[in-house]
Amino acid sequence: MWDIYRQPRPNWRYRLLPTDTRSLISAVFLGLGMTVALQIAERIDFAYSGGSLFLVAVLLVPQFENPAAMFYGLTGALIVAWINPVVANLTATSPLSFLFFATNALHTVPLTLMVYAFKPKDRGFNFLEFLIINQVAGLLDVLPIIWGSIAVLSAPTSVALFGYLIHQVGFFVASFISYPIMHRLLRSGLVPTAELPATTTHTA
Amino acid sequence: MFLGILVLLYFVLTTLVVPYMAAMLALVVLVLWLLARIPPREYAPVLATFVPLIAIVTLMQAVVRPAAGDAYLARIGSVRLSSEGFTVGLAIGMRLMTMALTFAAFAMTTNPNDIALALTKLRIHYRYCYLTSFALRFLPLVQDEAATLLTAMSVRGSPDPSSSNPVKRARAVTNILLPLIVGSLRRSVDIALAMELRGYRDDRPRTYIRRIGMKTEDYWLLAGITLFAVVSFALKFSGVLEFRTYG
Repeated sequence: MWDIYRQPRPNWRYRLLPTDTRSLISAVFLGLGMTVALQIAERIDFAYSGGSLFLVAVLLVPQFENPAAMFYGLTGALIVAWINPVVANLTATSPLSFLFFATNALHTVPLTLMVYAFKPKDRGFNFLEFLIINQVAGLLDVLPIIWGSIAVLSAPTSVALFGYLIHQVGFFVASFISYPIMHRLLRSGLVPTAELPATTTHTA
Repeated sequence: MFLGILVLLYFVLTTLVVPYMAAMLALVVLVLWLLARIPPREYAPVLATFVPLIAIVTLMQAVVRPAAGDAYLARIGSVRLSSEGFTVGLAIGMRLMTMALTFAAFAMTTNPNDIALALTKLRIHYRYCYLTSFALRFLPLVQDEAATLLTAMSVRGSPDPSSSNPVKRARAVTNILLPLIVGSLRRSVDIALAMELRGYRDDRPRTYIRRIGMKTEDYWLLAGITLFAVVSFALKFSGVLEFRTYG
């Protein structure tokens, strides 16, 4: 079970600004997948906290934002970051949904820039690198929600900071779910820039 | 409409005066009823979803906010509930309702295709504008796929997504992540090809069968927003109402 965390991730060719149709549409579908998953997650979050904490949502968001930011560059990162807020605002899923534009972008944009800066050309990230990059992006992600808790919900600063720390734990756990998913996606052949291992060809 | 949302957001976020918040909520309800012909019963279920959050926020405010003169509404053990906290909680509740209703009003009165057209008018490249209406068009398809996956997983013995246990429900959602992502990426390959064949990447100037422009209702709304902003600024700077945020 833990073997996958010890293996280096298969490599892919990182592009900062892809504009090909496949990348754009893939990013839109990742954004839609995130929206649908969050519609379920937000109902669960409402059940235990009335919508004041987003613990299940925090577990799910990186599963869609990581592939988008890492495989489809800044273009994919922004598309995925903004599809969910558009739908969330149109369907009024949360009173804080107008902050999701900033929240999601503050996760995906630093993430994709860190991948651009630190990804080795000849291999993918190992788990530790992946964990650190995700956690740093997570530090920025929840900041607008914390501001929203203080400015919109008038929550005391100590309560808002407690929420911030709880969400960081959520991002830490999310990396453990996200890494195997990214691993499998890279091996599935669905990521156009993935460098798949050479297969043995049989000749007659 | 977007301008109206921004103006309203500014005022609901800078005050917690209960009569003013109630007036704003009533104003949004009236505008929706009279200009958009949407009665309250149509969006009441959306507002009802915020009741638990409002209840939690009100309770939290009642607990953390000290009462004037040590006069508390109730004492439960060492926890004391102040009337000031309840008043602030009530104002926050109306703030949340007003914000939610305004966002919902945007969805109820705006055609998704018009959003793409408006973005095109702002000289954003067609290739990116189209993605807005494209996403809204394909959302029901992805929702159906997620529902099918959840059912298929629960039939195979995975945690029940409709369970009342939040941990089981969270596990059910986590289990569908990989198939949902793989299904989305697989579908995007075919759709991208189909779109390219229909000239999605063609950069020649485009014409549109629908055009958007200002209608009479839009001018009325603009006038209303201006009047509302002027009155609110007058109240704010004349000191008639105490505008302050509570932190």
